[in-house]
Amino acid sequence: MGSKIRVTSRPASAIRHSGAVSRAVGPDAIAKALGAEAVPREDVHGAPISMHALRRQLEIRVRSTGGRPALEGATKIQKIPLTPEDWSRLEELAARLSQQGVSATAGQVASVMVHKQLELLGSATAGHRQLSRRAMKQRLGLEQRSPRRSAHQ
Amino acid sequence: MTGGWESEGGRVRREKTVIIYTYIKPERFIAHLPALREFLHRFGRETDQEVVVAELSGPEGSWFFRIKEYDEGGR
Repeated sequence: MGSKIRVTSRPASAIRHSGAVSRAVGPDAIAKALGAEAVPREDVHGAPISMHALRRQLEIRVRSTGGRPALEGATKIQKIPLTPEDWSRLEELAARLSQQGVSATAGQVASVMVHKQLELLGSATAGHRQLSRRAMKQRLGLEQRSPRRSAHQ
Repeated sequence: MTGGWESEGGRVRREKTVIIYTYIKPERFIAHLPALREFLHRFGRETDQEVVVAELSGPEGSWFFRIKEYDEGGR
């Protein structure tokens, strides 16, 4: 077995972006220009995470600080039971993302998916609680019946 | 690809769909917003869509731009 490789050179300095900064445009301005209603993606309940969103999250959150690239904020390492098929699919996803230039482990892919789904579940149940309170007020005659909620994409 | 969406009345409608994602240059995107509006509204009008949605993702989050009422033709 070979000896452990030690990097003795100084770490490279941080890359600083010195180009022109693009003007930030808020969603409201874009919505007005498009004649549309802006809806935060997180408010569209029930939608599973897409490959695009998964790739985007990994691009943002996987950071290298000199060692193995780590998933930002994911500090708790837990053993989570998975079926062999699910683990294989996660490995396939990680390999597919790697081919697209996003380097992430199967565990990091799973972490991002769990995080996003828990967020969605949280906002969905919060919405349900709000509706339940509204329904209760209507039942008690404290509030007039409001129009039906608009459909989600 | 098959997509599902919740229509008015809460019914999930499934249909074949095509999704295209592209990176954008912000300044050029903003400059072409009127043309994008014209296309999205015409698409909704001429193909009789209940709703047309464009999605934009950035570091600050992702947004759906949902259009339910379309501009008159020739706007």
